[in-house]
Amino acid sequence: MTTILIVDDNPDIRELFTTFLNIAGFSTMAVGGGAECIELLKTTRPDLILLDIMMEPMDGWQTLKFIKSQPESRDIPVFMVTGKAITETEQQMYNGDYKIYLMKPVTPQRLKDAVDGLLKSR
Amino acid sequence: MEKKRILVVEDEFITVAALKVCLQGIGCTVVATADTGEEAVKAAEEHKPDLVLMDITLKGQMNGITAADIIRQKYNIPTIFLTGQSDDSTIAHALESEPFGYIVKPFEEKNLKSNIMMALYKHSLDLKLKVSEERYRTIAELSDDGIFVVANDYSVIYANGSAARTIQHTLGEIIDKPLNSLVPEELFRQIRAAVDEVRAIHTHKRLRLGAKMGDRQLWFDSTAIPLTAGDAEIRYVMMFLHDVTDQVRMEERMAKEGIIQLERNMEQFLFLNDEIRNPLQVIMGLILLDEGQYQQKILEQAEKIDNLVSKLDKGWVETDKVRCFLLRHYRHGDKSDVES
Repeated sequence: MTTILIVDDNPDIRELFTTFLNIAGFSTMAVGGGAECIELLKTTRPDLILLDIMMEPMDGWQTLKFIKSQPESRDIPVFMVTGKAITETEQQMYNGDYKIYLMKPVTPQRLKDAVDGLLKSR
Repeated sequence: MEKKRILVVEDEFITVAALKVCLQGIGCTVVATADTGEEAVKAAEEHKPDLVLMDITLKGQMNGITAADIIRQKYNIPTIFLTGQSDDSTIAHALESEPFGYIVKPFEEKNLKSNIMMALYKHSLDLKLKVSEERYRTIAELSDDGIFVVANDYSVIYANGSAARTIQHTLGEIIDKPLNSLVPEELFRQIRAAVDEVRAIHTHKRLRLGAKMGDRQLWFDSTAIPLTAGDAEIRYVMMFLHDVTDQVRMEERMAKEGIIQLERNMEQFLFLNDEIRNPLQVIMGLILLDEGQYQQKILEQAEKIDNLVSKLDKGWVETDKVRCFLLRHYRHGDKSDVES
């Protein structure tokens, strides 16, 4: 079964996306920040990572960079799901590091389609 | 003509006698006579006549021209020269002392009268002009604004104290010197452009000048005014320099502070929009899972909020453009620090 790691500092979002993805047939793990994500990746290898951007003390971009820097995790597809519009600078800086950039709010269908798409192109 | 008081300086006593008779006949009083230059000066001081009739060639150390010079400079009394000679070199020499008339002996009465009247009239005009000049010079000197006048060859023919201080020279170093040797090239170029323009358009022009004087960047609101002698030819251009450096600096600082405030607003947008979208996501998500009777209506409201937030996002992008423009405009080529 496909496992998706959800990284978002908002507990309601974590709960909602967990529900969305479970209904769609995926297994999920959820953590509240970049540090926890890194910790988890030491022992576990999810199939996909869903990453929020506006988190503190480590934001989504920093977390992304870290994921890409580690041999164990750099091949795991990452998609950003965030309430923040992307800037040109960010596009230039992180292009290629993430697969998809989704703006909240997303429907369950939209989320499922994104995951399916990523799994297919692996 | 009311009784004019004349000092006669002549060493031929016959001429003196004839002059006395003549002068009395035309309504003048001879207040004194002298036959040397030195005595003429003394007599001028003692009697303060309205006018001096003086022979150019006199006995003694001092000739008439020198005496007339001294009397004009010290007591402001005009002199009419008398002479038996009319050769060019004598006349040329005499003209250097700015006489008010020149009569060749033997003189005629009507010649004398008209010369005296002309001389006194011219003298009174000169006086008025001097007073007027003095008045304007005083005004110019008291002005905080720099005032200077350039001739058609861009040499400085007048500058007030303020102007001298601004361009960091003494007045002695400025007068009659070419302007491009006195100010930095950048400033000279701007002044020359303004001067050329007012000469072409025959009317004044306002402009802002900016230049580095020493290590300071200075700004001036300036007016260039063409000066004519009453005819159409422009001989000089007068320039006023009003220092607005402090003003400009304040404007720049306010603009920078405005930019900083803009950036702070933008940062807040980033966080705010993300914050708004989280509860929006939860509302929408739960409704879609729930499929209750109000699902559609609630989803519509959620969509409205989403659209509003997207508008704010776009507003942020517009602000980004404004910020870049302002930064570019206010940087002036030096590393101005906009980050707080």
